[in-house]
Amino acid sequence: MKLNHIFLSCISAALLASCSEYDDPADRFTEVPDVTPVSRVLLAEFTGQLCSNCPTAHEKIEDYERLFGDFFICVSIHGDNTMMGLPVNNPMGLGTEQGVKYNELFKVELWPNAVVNWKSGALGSDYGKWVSKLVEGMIRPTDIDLSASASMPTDSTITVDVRIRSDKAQPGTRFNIWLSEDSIVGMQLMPNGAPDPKYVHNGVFRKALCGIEGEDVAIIANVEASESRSTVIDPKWNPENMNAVVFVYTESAGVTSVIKTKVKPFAKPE
Amino acid sequence: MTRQLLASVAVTVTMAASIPAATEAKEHPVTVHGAVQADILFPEEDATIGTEKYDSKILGNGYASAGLYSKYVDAGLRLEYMQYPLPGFERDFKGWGLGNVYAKGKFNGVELTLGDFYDQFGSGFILRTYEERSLGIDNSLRGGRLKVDALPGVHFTALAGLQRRYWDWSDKSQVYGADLEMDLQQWIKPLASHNIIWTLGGSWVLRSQADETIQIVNEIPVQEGQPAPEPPYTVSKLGLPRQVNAFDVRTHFNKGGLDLLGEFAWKDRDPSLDNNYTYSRGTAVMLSGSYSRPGWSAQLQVKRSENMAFRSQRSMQGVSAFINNMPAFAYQHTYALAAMYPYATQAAPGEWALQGAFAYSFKRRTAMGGRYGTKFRLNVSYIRGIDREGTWKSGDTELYGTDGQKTKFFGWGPLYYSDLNLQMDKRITRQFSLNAMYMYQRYNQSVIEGHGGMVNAHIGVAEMKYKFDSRFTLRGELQYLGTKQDKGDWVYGLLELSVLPYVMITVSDQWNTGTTDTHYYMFSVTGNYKANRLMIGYGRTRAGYNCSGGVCRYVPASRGFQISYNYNF
Repeated sequence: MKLNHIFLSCISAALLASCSEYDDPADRFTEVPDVTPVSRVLLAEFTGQLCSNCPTAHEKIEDYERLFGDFFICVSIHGDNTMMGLPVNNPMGLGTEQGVKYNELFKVELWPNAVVNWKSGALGSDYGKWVSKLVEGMIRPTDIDLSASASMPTDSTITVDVRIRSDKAQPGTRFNIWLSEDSIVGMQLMPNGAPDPKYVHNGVFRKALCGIEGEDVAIIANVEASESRSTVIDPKWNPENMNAVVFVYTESAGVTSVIKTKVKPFAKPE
Repeated sequence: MTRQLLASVAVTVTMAASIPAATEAKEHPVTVHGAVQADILFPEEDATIGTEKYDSKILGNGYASAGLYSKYVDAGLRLEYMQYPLPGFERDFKGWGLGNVYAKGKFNGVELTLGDFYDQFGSGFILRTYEERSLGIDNSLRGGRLKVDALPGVHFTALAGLQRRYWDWSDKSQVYGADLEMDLQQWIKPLASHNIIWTLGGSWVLRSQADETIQIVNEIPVQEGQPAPEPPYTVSKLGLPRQVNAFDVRTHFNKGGLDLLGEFAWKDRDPSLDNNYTYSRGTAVMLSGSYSRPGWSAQLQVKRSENMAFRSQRSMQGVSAFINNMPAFAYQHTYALAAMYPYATQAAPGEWALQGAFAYSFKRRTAMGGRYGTKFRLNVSYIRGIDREGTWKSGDTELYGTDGQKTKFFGWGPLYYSDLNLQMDKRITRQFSLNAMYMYQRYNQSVIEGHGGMVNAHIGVAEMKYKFDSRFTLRGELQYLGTKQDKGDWVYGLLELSVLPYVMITVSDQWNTGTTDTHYYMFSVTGNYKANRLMIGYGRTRAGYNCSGGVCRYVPASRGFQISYNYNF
């Protein structure tokens, strides 16, 4: 084969390969039909005060809260100083020992990161995958009717009452209660590399009341299951800004129902 | 697939063993070579330096490889054990098994490899598969490769395979490639007669990957006087090209002391997590020239790259799954403090990179050369981002589906890294020699590490070696890094006693005299005996980045006993 034949073949192949079906921007998007949400979805965000890309994730979460409304529930989990956070025993830190364990459970090694409905696996900072898993969770109907209330029976305890009902038996179901807190002012490293000491952190994970992986709950058809858990309030917390996020899940299906309720403040007896 | 490969290797080995007759066996022996490497840490928690918490009392990475080589057939395998890996590697690095198995048949300039192999096209702009154990990188391809060197001056390679990512060879993504290089001096006689080597090369790589679901949510604007839409958003799925092509052309000219290289690479639309799922094409261009004469040499290189992160898995993060490797244009330092702020190539956003080097040797018995001669080397690296509309930001979903930010070819963006270092290498007496270096470094910690701003550092190094006799040599290093940023100043000292040929004793300390006042001490003994090398040490390692060829891995702080063993046969 002559040399010039080889060159011409290579140039032809290059020219052919340079044409792409996505040259026109209009061809790059396909609208997804039927995205009306019917179920609430839980996004566990893994974040860190020393993670300069994490404010970008927080902006995305604010967008999802605005667009998805009550269907979207987010809890932001901070780890320790090996997880782009401050040490757990640092008074300025938002990390907890349980937060460290959740990072390890979901094998989080890059921040920001997210797990949707317990079973998506760590999605990294691929916001395109976050949206696809959120939409997938929101359009999937649920068989479970979940309700919860959270209150402070004393000025030093929080109690969460949970009621779970389904018209079908739900074997293998576990439940958990996460306490989170909004409006925490604290340090956050920003994308420009400088720290912002007055950053407002929302949805910060404070405690899982049923251990890391929750507890078994028996859901029998048409029989309401009720659970109640309490905890002593940590001095770092501000109960006025706290919420209880209650979710039920199975290993195979992930979160099957989730609800968020504000902690009612302690009512001093008159 | 692994069982089939092992069976192929076994058959090939058996056939190879049976091919030569007694006389032929003498002329074409079958040789066996291999290596064992183990790096072990007995970790201790140390809150002062911020070590991790450890689940295991022993951590380590181990490799054992063996290869059989003969005239017509080679075969080899490598067993790897990283079930409890050293700190700082990505989680999926953990595991053990046969990480590399291959069989290669060769005959009359034609070579066929089946199994795992490494290859590089040109400078690696569109394909570079390699193993770098300190970074935990092994992105070999598992499949087949044909190399044809049958015609003089024509080298052809074709390959296809699945890329390794730790313990996974995903069949959802395949890599194909071809490379042709021609030595023109074999075809154009006047070139050969003038001792000119002139090579032309061209490569093509195709990544074929299954679709993924990447979606964006768009708010529906509320029309005045109209009810708010329910839901108030739409969701769109990105169309992702299944096939992404990349091309590379290059030329290399060499005559005497003059060496010139030009290379251009182009990548098709490849929306990925690295480039915020944008659809612009990637390009890289590099020019390099060097000239050397007895006593001096000079080199100048320039490279511009944009959107050239090329992975076998488009939504992967971290250091894994790269098909290509953009060469680093920053001088690779070996002195501890000079390597404290190493540069990581910015393949996705792109960069302009310039590097120059000048070396001069003053002859012995001259005023500048002294009795034994003196060598000077000046190295300069200068790397900037490219001129773009707006600031590069990872996770910028506004850019998803677009052609990305507009950029100018000749415009420069922010400074990423610069480094000017002057080194002197001088023997003072028959026993005593001195290496000294001064370096001024600027390191954009915000771009490279995500925090910290620009670090400006002055670094001085003095390395002295005293040879007592043919057996005993004492080496000492004293280094100083002065900066007002990050953790402030550092001092480093090292003493090393070599008792040839068997033993080396080293003690060192890296002391942060700036903000932390922390010592990172290390004591080690290294023994060499025949093909064995054993190092035992104890001390602290500071957190930082370990980089090789522009690719970096974050290494967390650690403390404990360390054992390193190497054996080659």
